Amino acid sequence: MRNLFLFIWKHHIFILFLLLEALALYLIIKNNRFQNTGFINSANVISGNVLGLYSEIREYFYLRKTNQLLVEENALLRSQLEQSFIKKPILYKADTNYTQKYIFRTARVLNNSVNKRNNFLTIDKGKLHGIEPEMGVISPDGVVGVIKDVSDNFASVMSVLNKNTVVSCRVKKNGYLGTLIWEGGNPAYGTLNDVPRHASLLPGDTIITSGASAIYPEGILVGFVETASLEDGDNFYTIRLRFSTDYAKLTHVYIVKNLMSQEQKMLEKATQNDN
Amino acid sequence: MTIDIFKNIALFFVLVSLQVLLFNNIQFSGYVNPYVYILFILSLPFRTPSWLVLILSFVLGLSIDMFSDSAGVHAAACTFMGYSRSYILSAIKPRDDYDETKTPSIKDMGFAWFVTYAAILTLLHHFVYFYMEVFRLSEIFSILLRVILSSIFSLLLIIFSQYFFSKTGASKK
Repeated sequence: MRNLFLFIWKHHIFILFLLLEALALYLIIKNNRFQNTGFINSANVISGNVLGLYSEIREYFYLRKTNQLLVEENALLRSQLEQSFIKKPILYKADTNYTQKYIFRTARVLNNSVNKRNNFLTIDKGKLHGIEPEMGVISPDGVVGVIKDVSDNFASVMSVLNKNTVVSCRVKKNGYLGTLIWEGGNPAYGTLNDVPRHASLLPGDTIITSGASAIYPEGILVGFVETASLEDGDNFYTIRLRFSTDYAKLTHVYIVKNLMSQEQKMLEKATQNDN
Repeated sequence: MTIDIFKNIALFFVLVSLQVLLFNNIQFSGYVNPYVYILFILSLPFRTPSWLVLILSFVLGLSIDMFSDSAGVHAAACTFMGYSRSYILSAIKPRDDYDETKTPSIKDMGFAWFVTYAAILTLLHHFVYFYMEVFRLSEIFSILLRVILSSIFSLLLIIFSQYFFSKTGASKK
């Protein structure tokens, strides 16, 4: 027993080192799982408030640009109003086709990064505003990410620029499915995989979300094909994709609540269990 | 003694805010991210006991993690750096040992000594940090490039800040 204490005393620095590293590793691994509510994230009270103050100052420099974006979007939305269409008498039917599926909420971006391998955003809406993990986040220009952690007033968003983010996409003109990942490096370009060989693709083709994942609505802009290469014997294209959103300049985003995601997930889970 | 403690506490907060509000937003072509906050670990006085260096490094890393959503990655890198510090210090010991009242800085130890010391520890920290961040074998080389480029950039900023914080600086040596 005495020897044990002597041993511990002799190596106490090394043991302390191992303990602290183990704690750090525990935090990393815990955080890598998608759904958790760790304390060490930018959505907690201290960091949320500091970053909030900072972004308020920073936003003044982007006011002109933001205003322009909002005006453009307003115009777009106005064009979709009921008044913008020719009225035809429709017989109202209590049909599920007319129930609302998505609700959008706005939020301000408090903190944002594009320079890391795994990038996150912090936004100023949280649990009290009805934000929950796994909701989609979009900007007027396209997809942004998925809600990861929520606190009462803040939430952190796993950006598309993250190794754990996968977005299910579709080529707009012919409907072929693909999956978007980001391989690090330049924050303006992503990689689109799994588009089959027989799909015809040209540079500049529009890529949109497929709506398969119950996170984003269908048809949200993702980006444009920059180059699509096909090696001999490959069954799938390797596509370099230019994002439609400039992730370095995000100031306002929309959070998408899918009112039917629970239903879709339960069904998919039941199907999987049967197999 | 007491004034040293207050000076270091102040340095802690200054460096964390600078890192979070300024340096985290700097990026060139997705490869260069300077992490200047490690200057805090570098400039702890020689007489700081090893266990305190370890714990301070861990807390420093955790504070940065809290602001940059990297949960534990900075903490792991900083703890490793804090642990290596005593070994590096004894490896590059000057002939007449360290003056316990001094701190590892350009002002006290001279330019060449400080650059060696800071370069080794910065590389170690960045190495652990970038590999921990990705945690994946397939990107080994692109990460190595990030480690080297970011280390150079951080080191330049660290050396620059040495002249900035103490105006009399290295001119005495």
